[in-house]
Amino acid sequence: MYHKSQCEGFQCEPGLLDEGVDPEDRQLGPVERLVAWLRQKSLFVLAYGTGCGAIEMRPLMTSRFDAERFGIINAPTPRQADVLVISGYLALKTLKRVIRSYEQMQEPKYVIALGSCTINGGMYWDSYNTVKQVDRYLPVDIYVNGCMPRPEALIEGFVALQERIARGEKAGFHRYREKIDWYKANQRRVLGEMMPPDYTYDWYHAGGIA
Amino acid sequence: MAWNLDIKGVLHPFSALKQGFKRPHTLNYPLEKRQDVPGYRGFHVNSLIGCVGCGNCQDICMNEAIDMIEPLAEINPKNASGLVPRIDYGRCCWCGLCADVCGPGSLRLAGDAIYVGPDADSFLYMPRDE
Amino acid sequence: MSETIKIFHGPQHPGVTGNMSLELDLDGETIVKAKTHVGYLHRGFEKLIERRTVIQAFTIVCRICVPEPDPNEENFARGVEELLGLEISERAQFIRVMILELARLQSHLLWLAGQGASIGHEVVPQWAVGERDYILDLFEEITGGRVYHMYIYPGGVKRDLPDGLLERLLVLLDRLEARLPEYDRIFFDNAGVKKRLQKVGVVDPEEAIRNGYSGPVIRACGIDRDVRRDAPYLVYDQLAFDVPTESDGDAYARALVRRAEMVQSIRLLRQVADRLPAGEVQCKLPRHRQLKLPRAETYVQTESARGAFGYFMAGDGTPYLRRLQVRGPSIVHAFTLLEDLLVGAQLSDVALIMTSLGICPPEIER
Repeated sequence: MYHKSQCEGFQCEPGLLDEGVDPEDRQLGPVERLVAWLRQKSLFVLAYGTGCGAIEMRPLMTSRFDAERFGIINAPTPRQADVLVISGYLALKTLKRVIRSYEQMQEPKYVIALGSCTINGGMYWDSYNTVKQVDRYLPVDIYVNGCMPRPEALIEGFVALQERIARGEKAGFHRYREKIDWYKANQRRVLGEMMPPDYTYDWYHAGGIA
Repeated sequence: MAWNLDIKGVLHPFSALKQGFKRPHTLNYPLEKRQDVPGYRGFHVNSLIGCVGCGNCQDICMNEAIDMIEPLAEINPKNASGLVPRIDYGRCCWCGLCADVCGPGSLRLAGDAIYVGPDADSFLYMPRDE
Repeated sequence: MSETIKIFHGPQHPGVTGNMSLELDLDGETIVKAKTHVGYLHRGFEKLIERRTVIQAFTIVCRICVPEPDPNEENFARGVEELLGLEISERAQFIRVMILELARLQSHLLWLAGQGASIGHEVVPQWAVGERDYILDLFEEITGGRVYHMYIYPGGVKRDLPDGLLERLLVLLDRLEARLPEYDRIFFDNAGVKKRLQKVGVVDPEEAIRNGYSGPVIRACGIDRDVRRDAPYLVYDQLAFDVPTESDGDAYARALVRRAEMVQSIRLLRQVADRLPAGEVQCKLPRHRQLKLPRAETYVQTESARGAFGYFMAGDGTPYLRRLQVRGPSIVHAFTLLEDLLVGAQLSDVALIMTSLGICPPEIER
């Protein structure tokens, strides 16, 4: 999946590819491995169709492509969900609700971003009401390419997320904790008065578990 | 509220149980893949021998997804500008206008469509040469 | 004197059809007042179009309505053709009818999945979305993409049909026709479904005409209106089809109207497959920056699966469109009709009523 040649395929410097993997090769003990295996095999996706991509989430969850073989089903409330799928572009009003839902989810939590609109703005790169790079406002774990991505590409995205969980890498929620002030500054700059209130992330500063 | 007995309405839904004996039509994705459909609008390919570096593709793309850059491989000696297109898959919408407007017909859309990655900067794509 | 509780049936909810929210005032389980909030999907299409030439704009209009993008492309193409005075070939018109009717079929199957899920019937969504996937396979062969086709182009269609497509289309239609009685047995004749859907969300016929509703919502109240028959476009005046109506006006009548429309779509597709003439499919157009639109304006309408879809287009002598105004069918259904129907309804019927009206938020707030 990662093309390493610089001449053809996707352009990424080799250094960025290893960013997620610790050089000291974190050894996961048996209990940690078991916990990681349990987490990766039962990912609950929050039921939130934030944009265009919701149209390809339906074939993914039903009989033709059947993501339930991988342990993926819908969860209606953020308190019971593990994965937030940002399916497509984000308008500013939706960004506020997505941030609230993300902060209400319990850790460990992951974000998968679908489509080219989340990567660099996509088709609406000059629109006044969409968010151009989601990574500045929420930590994204996996991007899936396409407009719309096929259900097979979505399955590859979930499998890649499962592999990341199995390797025990630092995920997006760790980044959110460490760089919370940077994320909040970006959100404040784009949302202005619509910013969600401060009490939603008080516990990040207190250091407690979500 | 009157209660009328609707025997048919109560018993007929159980006919759905006979689907349990049929073969499921689920596509077991990693083990079985769909056949490639000719004409599917997937990732780009660009034959560098044919590309003349005219920049029509960059001109028509309204998402500003195509940049003309210097290639690292052999190019067509008739290439006027010495540049070939590179496509930003964070902007592309796979409409195919760049392939339609390509004069020598070297930029085309092929069948490959799957790429995932954790890093947003890695989505700049140099079309395969074929 | 009881107090009312205010809840948000919000955007993050498995029971809303898309990304919109409702603010409900409840007295026990009965709704006293409802207010719709939209704006979660606004992208500013009408402003984005002003920066793109006509050929570039045709790739962006299909994203105005996500479940059924093809009426948008058809409206845009027909508007441009009327402004420029282009005539398209018969073969292109028949192919466009085929694409539009296939889009209507898959939109109704998606509606069926949503209606089943909103009342807790978990079998019908699995079946309906599974069947719909075979229609998307056919779209992939014809147009090159599953969801966004970008195929109906000003001047015709983008490319010709591949070989053997008509046989595969007929095989698919036979299969869908054989499955419809099974859907009847589990959904349309199901006693539990009838109990849930009958007498819920009753629409008043006089109000319907006064407020401008369209589509299955008014056809289920007995009003016989359909843009394909009343203001025919493409080759619908040469094809034979009926416009089904029911008279109750409740959610069950709307379900029956949509099922009958699926049967009519299959009938239209068979006629198109029989009568497809030979010929060219695309007119030659100048380069995109030289395609200038005259100073004129036009309004075109198409019948989408949810109602009458209208576009107003105005050109001003440059390659850019001066104004594009999109009027989707859900805009009146989501505000006027939904807020009326929800007063006095039960909380557990909210998802049911929203799905049976066929509300699609992306086309409300382009």
